[in-house]
Amino acid sequence: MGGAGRLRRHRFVLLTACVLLFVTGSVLHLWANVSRIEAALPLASLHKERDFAALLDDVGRLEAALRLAAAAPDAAHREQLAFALDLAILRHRDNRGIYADSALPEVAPLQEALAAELGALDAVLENPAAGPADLLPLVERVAAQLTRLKALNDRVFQHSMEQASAQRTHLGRLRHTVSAMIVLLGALGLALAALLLRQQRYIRELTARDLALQAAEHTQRELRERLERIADNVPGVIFQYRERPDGAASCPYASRGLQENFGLAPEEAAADAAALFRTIHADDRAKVQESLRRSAQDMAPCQCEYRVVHGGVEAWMSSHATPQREPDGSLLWHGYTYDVTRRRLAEEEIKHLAFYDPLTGLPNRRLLMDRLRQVLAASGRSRASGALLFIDLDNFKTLNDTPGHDCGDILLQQVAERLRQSVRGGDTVARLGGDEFVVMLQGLGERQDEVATHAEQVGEKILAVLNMPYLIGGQEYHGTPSIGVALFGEHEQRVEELLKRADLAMYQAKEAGRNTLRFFDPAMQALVAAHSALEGEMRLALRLGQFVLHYQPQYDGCGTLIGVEALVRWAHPERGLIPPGEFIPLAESGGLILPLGQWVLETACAELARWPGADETRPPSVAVNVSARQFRHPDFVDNVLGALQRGGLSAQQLKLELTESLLLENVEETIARMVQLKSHGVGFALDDFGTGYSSLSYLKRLPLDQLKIDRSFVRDVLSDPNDAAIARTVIALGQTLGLYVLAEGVETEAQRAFLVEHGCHAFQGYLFGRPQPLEALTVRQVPALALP
Amino acid sequence: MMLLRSSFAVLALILGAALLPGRALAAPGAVPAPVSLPALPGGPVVLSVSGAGGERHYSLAELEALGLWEVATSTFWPGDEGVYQGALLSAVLADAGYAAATAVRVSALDGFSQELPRADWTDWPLLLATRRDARPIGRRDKGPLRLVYPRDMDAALHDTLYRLRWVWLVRRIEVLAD
Repeated sequence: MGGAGRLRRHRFVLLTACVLLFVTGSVLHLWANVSRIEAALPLASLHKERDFAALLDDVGRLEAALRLAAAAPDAAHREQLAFALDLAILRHRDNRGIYADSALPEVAPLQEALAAELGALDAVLENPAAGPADLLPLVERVAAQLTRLKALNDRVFQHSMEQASAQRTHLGRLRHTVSAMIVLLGALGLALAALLLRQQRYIRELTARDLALQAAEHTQRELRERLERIADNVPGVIFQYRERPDGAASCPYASRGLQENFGLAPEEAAADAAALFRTIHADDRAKVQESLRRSAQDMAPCQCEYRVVHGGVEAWMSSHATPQREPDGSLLWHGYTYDVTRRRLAEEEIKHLAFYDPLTGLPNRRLLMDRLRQVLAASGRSRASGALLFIDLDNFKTLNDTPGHDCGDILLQQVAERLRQSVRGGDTVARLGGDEFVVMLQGLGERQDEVATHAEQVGEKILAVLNMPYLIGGQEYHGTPSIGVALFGEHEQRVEELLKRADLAMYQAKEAGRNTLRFFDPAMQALVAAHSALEGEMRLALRLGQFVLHYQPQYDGCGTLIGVEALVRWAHPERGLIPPGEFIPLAESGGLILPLGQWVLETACAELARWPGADETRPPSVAVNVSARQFRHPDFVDNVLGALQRGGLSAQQLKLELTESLLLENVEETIARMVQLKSHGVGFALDDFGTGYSSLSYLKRLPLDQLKIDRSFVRDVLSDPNDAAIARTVIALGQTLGLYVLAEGVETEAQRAFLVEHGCHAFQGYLFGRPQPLEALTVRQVPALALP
Repeated sequence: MMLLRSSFAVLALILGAALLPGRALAAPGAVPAPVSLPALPGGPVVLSVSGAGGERHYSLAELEALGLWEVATSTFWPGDEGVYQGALLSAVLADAGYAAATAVRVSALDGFSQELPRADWTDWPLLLATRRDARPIGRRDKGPLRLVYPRDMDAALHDTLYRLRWVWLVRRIEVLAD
């Protein structure tokens, strides 16, 4: 307790002393007064008696002196009488007060009588010549007064005694009252003192309790402040995260670090954790939620690394938290989060250093081998194939030696950049070291010749790109590469073996005079050469008009010709009529498909418009196959409309046949283009339906008119229940979507019957007619094919 | 609360002081003071002072020669108040050679007497009055000598105890012990 407490105690003592003093003083005062009155009471009555007695004495003395003077009137006796008279007059005068307040009625007459006798005596004595004769009559009169006085004195005495007794009784009562008051006052004083003492003790207790409470609060506050100071100054965030049973989440506590690391004030997160989750990178939110969910399920600590985006900056955070169950059923995690961006960056850098070439930023040998291993393992299962291109710069050593090492480095960087831009996103460009690069191409096709063709095309492109002049240190430099190609995917191959093959092929290219490309496999080399030749011939054939169109008829259920499908043929001067399967893939990969496709479109439109065999009332449509490259060409819509216009064919008579894979690539653009053509009346058929992985939801959105059941399903529709089911499903689907369903490759009557039975609308196949020149085609009813 | 307690203490103090026996302020003239009047002619002996050391006799003039004092006072009797002059009892006793007297008996012409303790003439200036309103006092007016206590100077003197000690018709003072 401090100075204030001591002061309070002193004041209390002073106060109590005052009260006690006051009470004691009052009581003593009262007591003293009562005692004094009591003491004075008999005295007061005594005065009265005494005064009266004195008067009696004086009058008695006067009577005696009067008798003596009357008997012997000498000077001495006269003087004695005068003295006695003086005293009597004095006493009588002095006793007026007694007479006045006397309760006895006899007093007043006596006083008057006595006054008269004294006056008479005085008058006699005034005369010096007065003798015994003058005095004698007065003797009897004074004696008579004396007698009355004596009697009255007894009465006064008796009355006085009675009065005193009454007063004493009254006083006794008063004394009792006072005593009782004293006791009462004492008790009151004691009670007051006790009350004050109790109150004081109570106040002291309260003060002590208050102080203890304050001290406890102070300690608690200090502790909390210390903890918060620590929490706020620790790098990262210390937090509590709560999930209620109803799913509401919040951060009841988060240190100041939240602002720095998440760009969020702790108060914002305290209300709702959603704000906190919004700062987490969209790709990582699910991961964090999953981590929390698992932690809640196992009641085990949760640990998670994720990205946080705030102020446009991305940072990696690592959070650790331990859950505990609260009485209300909610889960409370205590944990901490810290920035691991630097560690992440370091890890990435280490990874990069381990897997990438520092000079060009390209994957190094290790990463290449790794990816190659993965691709080979995958291709073993899926038969997907690719090629490895081994690229070595010609005469690099010369450049590297002459103008300085820097020039060589710059050249390597530029080569790397050109290589990177020459391949697709999924392909890998790696630098093995020195001037050796490797390009790994994937998914080039399933057939070896296809793969070889693609690989050769890419190789040629790289040759061309690397042949372009370089600008190094302000000077132009010309460089050439030698490229070796090894294909993979056909057989199980080892990575090292594959790389060695490509390397060997590259040396063959060097030996062949550099700046060229060589395949490891001579047969491949030959095939590629053949393809090159064929492409050249095809180009020539297009110019020479060696391509022709054959048309295959399409009939409806009633046997009426509803349309023809235009099919291209190459009328080779030496090899005869070549089917499209042998040259279309080559045309597609080489880019020749664009002029060829346009030629087919123009020719089909023109020929059908001029076909004399057409039924004027129900003109048949012509179906033209469109390749993906053709369809994606920016001018495709104009080209189609131009062909219709130039050929003089109605747009309603043209039906474009698209493949599933084409439709599924970039769906929105596809739909837009189809809708545009459809607005002019052009129809669309989906070719080879059922062979790919069509998404039914997309199918619904596409503005199609016709579904074509692929010939592969129709072929075995009677023998294979699966194919039958697919055929049935396609027909049902077409009906549901309101599409016209046409079956391809119908060769027997039984197949047709099955399809008709299940509701197929139209048919195409050898049963109805082979593809043939238009002039050979005649509009004929197929009588036997009438509806069942 | 502290204020309330403090005011309570102050109130208690004030009440206590008011209820305790107080001492009223003396009225002007209530305290005896020396006074000067024309001397009386010589006269008969009015007072005898006796004791172990012999007897002394005084006339009014001789008494007044010991030093004349004056007091205006009330008395125990109605119509008795007035301005009294006379000698201090202490001066008379000292003159008679009994300055150290511890008690005296004062006797009156009518035979009345009272014992006075020393404190009476040492605590208060007790007057042996020779005059009232500057005139000698007759026998019928309790003269020629009477004891006058400065009653209005001290409330203690209002006690009836002192009523008897106002001896009048004083004739003799006997020193009882010294």
